[in-house]
Amino acid sequence: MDPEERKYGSLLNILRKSRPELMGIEEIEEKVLNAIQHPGKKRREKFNLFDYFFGWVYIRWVRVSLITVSVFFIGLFIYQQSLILRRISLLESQTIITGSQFVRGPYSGLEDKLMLKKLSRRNMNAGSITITEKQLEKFADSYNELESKYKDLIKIIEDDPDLKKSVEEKLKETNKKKFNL
Amino acid sequence: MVDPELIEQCRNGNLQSFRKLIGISSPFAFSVAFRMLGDEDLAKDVVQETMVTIWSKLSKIRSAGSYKTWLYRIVVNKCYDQMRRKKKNPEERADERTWTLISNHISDGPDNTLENRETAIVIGQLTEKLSPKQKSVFILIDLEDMTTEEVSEITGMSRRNIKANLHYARKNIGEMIVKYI
Repeated sequence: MDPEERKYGSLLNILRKSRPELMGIEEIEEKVLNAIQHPGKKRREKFNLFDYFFGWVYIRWVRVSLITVSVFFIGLFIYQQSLILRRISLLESQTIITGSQFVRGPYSGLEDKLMLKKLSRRNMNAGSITITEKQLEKFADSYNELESKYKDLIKIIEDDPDLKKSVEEKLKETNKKKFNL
Repeated sequence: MVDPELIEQCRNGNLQSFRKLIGISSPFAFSVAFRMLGDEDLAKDVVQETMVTIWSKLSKIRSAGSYKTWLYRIVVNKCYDQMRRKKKNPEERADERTWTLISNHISDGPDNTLENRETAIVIGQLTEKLSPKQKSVFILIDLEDMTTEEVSEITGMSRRNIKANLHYARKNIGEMIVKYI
């Protein structure tokens, strides 16, 4: 037997022999019998509001479960935050560029024409086109010009009954569009 | 430990018999509670609460033979509750003097015994780093001289688990003895 084991053995021996002595056993007897005979009184004395409502937090598996759930929610929160930040950066890349910021070479009108062509397509996806203020202005001007020309044309046709009749017949024949005059 | 007839009388509601039962059971309950908690007043409270619980549930006991196991199970569970509460207000750590005290008792020889206060200090210091389960297994087997089967019935732990906890407890205490004594 090595010295450590001997020390351990003798310490254990001392502790075994030193059995704790219970003093005042009569007092315990009285208290227990009193608690048995007046259970309500005892309960009131021992009633602890905190333990009554939150005593369950001392249960080991509840604590472990709460920690696990907390870790899960923290992870979820971090994931959501990163998702939101990614969406924000994506939206930032889709910001409308104003005309004043649109610095390119000499104006050729090519972009406006392309834009008008894009707009003329019926099945456009929402958010798929970015339009500048300048392009929008151009588009409005073009529309107004077309409208005034259209009015003049209608006026000429209405003034000439033969022409009107001829146009109507032609339209019926082709049956491409309804054209109410 | 207890006469089966006495338990039968208690079951029939005889308070005088129950007083006798308190007198017989309390020293055993106190020994375990005091060794686990290291506090005389707390240990007395545990004994008191245990006896009240026993009175209220005496009808549920299967046989007088299982009384001892049942008593210790209630004591150990109540000690766990106290230890959980105590965790919130941890005691101040023992200093160098405690180790000197332990060392002196070992060198005084195996016939030496300790007072309650000294027992509390020594056990408290030796089992400082043990979990409540490890502490209870060490106290029940090494200090209260119980068998693994009895401890298994009291704590509800498997035999393998008890052996593992006991091994860890002995190893930890042995290391502390080597380090400080």
